Amino acid sequence: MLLYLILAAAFFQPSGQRGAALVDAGIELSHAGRFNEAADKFVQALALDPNLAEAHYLLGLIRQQDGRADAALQSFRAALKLNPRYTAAQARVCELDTVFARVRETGYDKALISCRRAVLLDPRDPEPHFHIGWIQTKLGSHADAIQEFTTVLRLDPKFSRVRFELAMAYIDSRDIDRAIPLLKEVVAAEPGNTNARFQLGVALVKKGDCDAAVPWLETGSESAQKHYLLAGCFKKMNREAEAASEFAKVKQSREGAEASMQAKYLAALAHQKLVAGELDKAIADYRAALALVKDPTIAIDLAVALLKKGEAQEVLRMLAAESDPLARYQVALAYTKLGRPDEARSALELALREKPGFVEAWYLLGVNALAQEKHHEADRALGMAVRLRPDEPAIRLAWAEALQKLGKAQEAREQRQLAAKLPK
Amino acid sequence: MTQYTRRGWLAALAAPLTVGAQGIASRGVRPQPRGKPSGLPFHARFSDIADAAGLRLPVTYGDVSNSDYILETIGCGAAVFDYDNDGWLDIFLLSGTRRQGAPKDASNRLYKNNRDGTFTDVTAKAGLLRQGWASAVTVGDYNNDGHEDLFITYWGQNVLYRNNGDGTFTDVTKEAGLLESVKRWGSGCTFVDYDRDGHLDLFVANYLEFDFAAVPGPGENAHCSWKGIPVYCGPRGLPPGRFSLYRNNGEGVFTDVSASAGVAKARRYGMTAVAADFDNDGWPDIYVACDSTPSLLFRNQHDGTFSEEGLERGVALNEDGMEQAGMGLGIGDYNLDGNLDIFKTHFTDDTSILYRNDGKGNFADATISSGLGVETRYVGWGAGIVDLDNDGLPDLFLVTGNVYTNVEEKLPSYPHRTPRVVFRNLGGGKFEELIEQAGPGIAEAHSSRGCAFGDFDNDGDIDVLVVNLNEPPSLLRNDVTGGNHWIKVKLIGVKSNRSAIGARVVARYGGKVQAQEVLAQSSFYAVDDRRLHFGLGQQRTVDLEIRWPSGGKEVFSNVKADRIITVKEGIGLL
Repeated sequence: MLLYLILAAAFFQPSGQRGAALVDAGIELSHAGRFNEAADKFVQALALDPNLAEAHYLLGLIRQQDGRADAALQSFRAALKLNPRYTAAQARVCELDTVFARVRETGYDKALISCRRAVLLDPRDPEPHFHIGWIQTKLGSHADAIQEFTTVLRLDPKFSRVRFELAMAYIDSRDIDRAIPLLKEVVAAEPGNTNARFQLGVALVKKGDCDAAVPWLETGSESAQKHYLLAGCFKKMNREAEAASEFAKVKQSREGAEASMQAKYLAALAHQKLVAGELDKAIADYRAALALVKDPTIAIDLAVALLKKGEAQEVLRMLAAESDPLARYQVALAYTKLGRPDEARSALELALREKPGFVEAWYLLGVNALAQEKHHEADRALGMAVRLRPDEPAIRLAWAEALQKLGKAQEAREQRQLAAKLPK
Repeated sequence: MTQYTRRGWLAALAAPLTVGAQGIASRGVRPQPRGKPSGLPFHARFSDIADAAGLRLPVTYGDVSNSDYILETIGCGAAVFDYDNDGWLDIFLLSGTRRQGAPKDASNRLYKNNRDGTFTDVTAKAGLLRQGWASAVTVGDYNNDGHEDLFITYWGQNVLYRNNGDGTFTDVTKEAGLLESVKRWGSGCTFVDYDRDGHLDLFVANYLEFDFAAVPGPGENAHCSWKGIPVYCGPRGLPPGRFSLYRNNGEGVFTDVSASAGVAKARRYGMTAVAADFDNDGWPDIYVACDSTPSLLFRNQHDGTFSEEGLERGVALNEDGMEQAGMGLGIGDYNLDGNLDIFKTHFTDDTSILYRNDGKGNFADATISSGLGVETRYVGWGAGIVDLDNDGLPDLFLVTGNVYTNVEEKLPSYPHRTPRVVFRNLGGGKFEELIEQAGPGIAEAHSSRGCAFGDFDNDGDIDVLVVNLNEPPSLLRNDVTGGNHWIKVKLIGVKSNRSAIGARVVARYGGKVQAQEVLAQSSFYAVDDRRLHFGLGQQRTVDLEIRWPSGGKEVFSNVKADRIITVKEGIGLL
């Protein structure tokens, strides 16, 4: 009711005020955990008034939550452009620049600048210090990293992960003796933290204490490295059979990893050929990749290529037994191509049961329903798709069509207007 | 406006992005902090005299400024050997070509030593002109006729040249049974008498399966970028190469025994191959530096077969269990315990590695404890464990050069041309990095690949020939001061293979014990001076123990220093 009143009031205000009211509505929705609807409000607000820094920022938070980091960064930067002293937005830019630097293994300097700006705006916020510490670690400035992580601990002794990162910084600076007690604190506080267990094991191996290291390694996170270190320790401890067993695990793990790496490369080649329109070659490469490893993501990519070639039946044969929502979506596309909409709908419903936020599935469900003139079903599905992806004009236009068919001309017009204001 | 805090808001968000997961157990490729300089004088000083020596032709390899394919960037090695048996080291330089066609002078080159500090190009006269993508070379007298022969790997057909003993060579690949039915990218190769029958056999590594038509260009997919910059694709993702062993039947014909010998199963990005007796059992093993995959140690089982034990023996990965980009190999006894240790070079953002041998063929990663962890800036290639200043402590040497021609523009901290590096041995298993302090020839920046160690001017020290891509080579003349003594030992096999490849010499001097072995390949795709060089410090005499590949042993006591001696198997000092 409150939301309704806010929205109703908003429509009788000048665009700036109406925009601000929509932002408030979005915030209320966010507090209720209805983030997709909230995002829709922020998009609407920005359509009315693009200078609402807060709307950019809040939209960025939801995009970030959705894993759309690029779009989130764009929103945060837009907020900062409007208000350069927007502390929270600067902190988010710091965080995302750091994330991108990590993924791309470059851009550390840019991230460092963003984070230093964030510290200038709010020296008491531990997060930018944490990110600076992490960047300094990557840049090999161990002393600086240790200083930043120590600052984080001072500002917020309960700050998640900082003890672990500080321990890693000590390990990087060869100060194993300081790292070990920190890692022990981490595993005491988080007994399920298998990475910390593993790192504690590694640190103890580096100290030459295999007896102490083995239990931590054994309960640490799974990796070829873990087995290699265990094998080395068992060898030193004259536990030859266990050493041999661990070496065998290392070999097995590495062989699997190498096959997987080659398969991914072949799949990447196939994708490239797909984009270049070399459909048959792409399909051949995808098949070669699948021969190396049974990877459902490659099977799904192959399905995409097969559907482009019109081989819907083969997609059904290949993916019928797969329960992955993405696979079910490809199956639905295949059924759609074969003119079997009811089976497509079943597949999509199964996919959405597993992954309710699967925008493309809602969209396909909606357009299939539209094609079958099931307008109420189309309205429901496309409305959901718009809430999940409010800044996608194609979805709004499809929804508008469904609304129009249901006689909701005013709402259909509003959706078309909103779609027109969104970047294509 | 509703009030909210960012923290409160964040709490409502289920999964904010987080950062912080570092490489799991890697020492993180971050450089080890540098200690204080020792301040000790270093008595070796290197100057590049290539131009004055007449080595002026560039080593063609791919496009100068725009390498789109991995084949154009890996480069090649070189050999220093005495092809005409005149007692002076000659030079054999490999060459690549270019996609758009080879420049006029692109060819492998043989330079005859004029014994006056200069060399004469005798390639054409020797019958060695050849264009193509050459990789590696191994030198050995495969037909035991007293003249050193050449085997060269290529992307394409490998080539065996028989030395005719009259200054010319003949391509005998076909009659030796070494023609291949498929196009491979031959990489490391080494003559090795694996069955100790007195005839040199041949081990050949292959890097990866490559075809210009099949491999995408830079940035064309996610596997073809580095630090966000489009670069050539590979090696990761490309199908790895295989390994071959060819048995010499004693009549100049080789038979592929890869499968029965147990080397055919392995698939890796194999690079430099070294045959040496790592476990001191008298039989040659084979170690292969592998790029981006675990390196391989084929242990000789004494029955014509090998067992791959790199992982179990500790030489496949680093101490953290991480694979490294193995390129070049130096083999020697850095800690003077009579066992052969391994020095392996890698990519930038990683250290080189030093494996310490316990004498039973088990190795420990001594990189950090020895002080090598300070250097992670360069891509390392050719390498050696060699006593550069004759102080009796073998030093480490490597040449470097980035593979990406286009990265420097965007990331200046990764230049294409980089200096050579010396790690001088301080004793006690510790090393100290020297660049400028070792002379202008060390500090000069090039994109180097292979390097070969040998004494070109027979003045009692170790000089270095360096392959620089698309530039003339460097000939680093070493001018040693300080009055240290030395000895060089040339071995001639009789029952053993004539080149004495696989012979072990243990030198004892001033309480020190140092082992060396005659190798047919090391560094990066290269062959060093067959004469084993021992710096002796202040010692004027040395005791030598020789173990021949045939199993025979000979001991020579109180041998006078500062000379080159020749020992013939079963006969003694010549």
